[in-house]
Amino acid sequence: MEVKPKKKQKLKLPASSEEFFQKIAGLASFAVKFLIELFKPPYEINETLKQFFMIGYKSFPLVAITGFIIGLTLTLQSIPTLDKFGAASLVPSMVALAVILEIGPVITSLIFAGKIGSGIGAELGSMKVTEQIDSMEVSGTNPFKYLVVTRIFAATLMLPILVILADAIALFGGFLAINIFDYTSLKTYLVSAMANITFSDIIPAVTKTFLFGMSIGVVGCYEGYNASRGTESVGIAANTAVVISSLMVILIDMVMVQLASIIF
Amino acid sequence: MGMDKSKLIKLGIFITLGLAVFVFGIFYIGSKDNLFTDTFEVYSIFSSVSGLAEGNNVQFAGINVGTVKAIDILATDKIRVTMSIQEKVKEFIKKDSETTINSEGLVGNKVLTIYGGTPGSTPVESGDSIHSVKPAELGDIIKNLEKSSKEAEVIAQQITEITMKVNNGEGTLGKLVNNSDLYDNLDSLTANVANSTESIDRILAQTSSTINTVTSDIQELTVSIKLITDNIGEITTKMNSSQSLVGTLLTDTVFANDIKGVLRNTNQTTANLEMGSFSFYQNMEALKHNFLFKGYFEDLGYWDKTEFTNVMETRENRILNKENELDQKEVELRDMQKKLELMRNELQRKLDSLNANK
Repeated sequence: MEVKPKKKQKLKLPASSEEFFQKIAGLASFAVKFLIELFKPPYEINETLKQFFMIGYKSFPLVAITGFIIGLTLTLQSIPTLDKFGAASLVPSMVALAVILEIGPVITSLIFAGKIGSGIGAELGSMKVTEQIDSMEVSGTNPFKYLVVTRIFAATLMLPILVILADAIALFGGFLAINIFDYTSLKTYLVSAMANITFSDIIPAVTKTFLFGMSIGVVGCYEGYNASRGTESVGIAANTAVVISSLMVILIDMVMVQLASIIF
Repeated sequence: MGMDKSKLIKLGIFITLGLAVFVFGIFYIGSKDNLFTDTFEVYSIFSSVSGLAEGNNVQFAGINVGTVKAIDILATDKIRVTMSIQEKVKEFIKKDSETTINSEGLVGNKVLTIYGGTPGSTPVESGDSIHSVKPAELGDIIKNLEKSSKEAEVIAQQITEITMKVNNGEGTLGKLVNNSDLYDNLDSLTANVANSTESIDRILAQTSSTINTVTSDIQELTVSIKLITDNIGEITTKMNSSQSLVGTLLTDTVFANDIKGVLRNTNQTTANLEMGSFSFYQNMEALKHNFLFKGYFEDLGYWDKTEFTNVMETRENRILNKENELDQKEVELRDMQKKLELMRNELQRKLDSLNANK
């Protein structure tokens, strides 16, 4: 009897699930590739600086306005509520905790994802569609290093700075909001705001923003870099980049908060 | 592909600003957590830390001087709280200081408070244990409140009972409240008191006038005494001037000697009289023994030898007594003379002092 060789069974999953896992694998490999390429010379310093400027500096006004309004409204809404409990004096402390620990990093990252994630996705997507990336490869330039590594690195380093500035602006917004109700000196406000904040609050809050920035950069670049060859794919790439990077921010936040509570 | 200068500057400013805020935050919180100041560690053992957590503030005299570094369970009712305290306040925290756990506000953060410590006693050293005082737990406070409210209920009930009794006119207080006799009594008492007050006023007025009278009398008396003193002065002057009998007595020694002589003569006369009477007696005895008159005396019972002897002895004794008396008189006279001398001297001195006062 002839023994039939066993046929290798192919993993069968619904089309959407297949796509989902493919994407996860693609993103992971993309991230690993980024980390490998990051430390490999040559370094695209000028392009990196340019991306710092484009991603960091250019996002600052948007982030600043958002931060200011968040600090202002959070304070304005907290005062009447806390006043009911006779704890109006805890408003600065509460606003500072909320802004520095959670709202500042997450909101800034979401805004950042909306602006930078979509921007990178669309830019790289259009470059892909117009075959600029292919031509780069032909001309001997490593497009991954030149286009992807610089953007992800810029996003990773610029987001923490943006978050820190946004936190500071949000606290200033809170200070102005308190002065609408009552007069408080900036020093008193700062002392009260910082009363309950310790290193164990600041370090995880800042650390996670690096991961947020990196994930936004990775998702944006991945979506743009792997856009298919149609014009509409540029839009899809931009859209998917925003959706996925926003989701990533929220997921990473959840994990990091839990991790921080374990470590600190 | 380079970047133009202005973009680079903007980027530089942006990054610097972000890092500056970060560094400021780090140092601000670091200084709060005493990461950049010299610190030392002490600990306290509690049976419960009432929710105190690592990183909570340590206060001394109401000032944040450190943080709680660690909380370890050593045994079931032994919890060691390690505090990290600024080196600069070390000298103010004494070995006999105490620690307790308080709340910042009613529902605020927990703080570890160091208090007490005798000024001048030894300061704590790193690794010392500070005696802890059990913190007031909210549960205990509520338990005490419950107890107090129960007691208050009992008290309220008792007060109600008392009030009811009072309203019903039972007991002393009830009678006091409900019986008007006491009020009437009080009323009359008040009236009496008013009368008494009037009487007292009157007595006081009288006393006052009496005192006035007495005072004026005393004044008059003083005037009289002055007059008397003046008179005495005059008398003394007169005495000294030997115009009067007393003056003569006091001043004139010749006169005194005369009196002495008179007295002596009187004594002599008396002695002579005694002698005369004795002679007469002898004559009479002779008559008795005369036969012509013998019968007469015998009839009268005078003829008795023993009786005669007795009479004689009695006479003799009497004469001796007289002699003694005379001697005594002489002594007395001498005394008198001495006394007069003394009195004279005395009067002379008083007169001198009066003259000096004038």
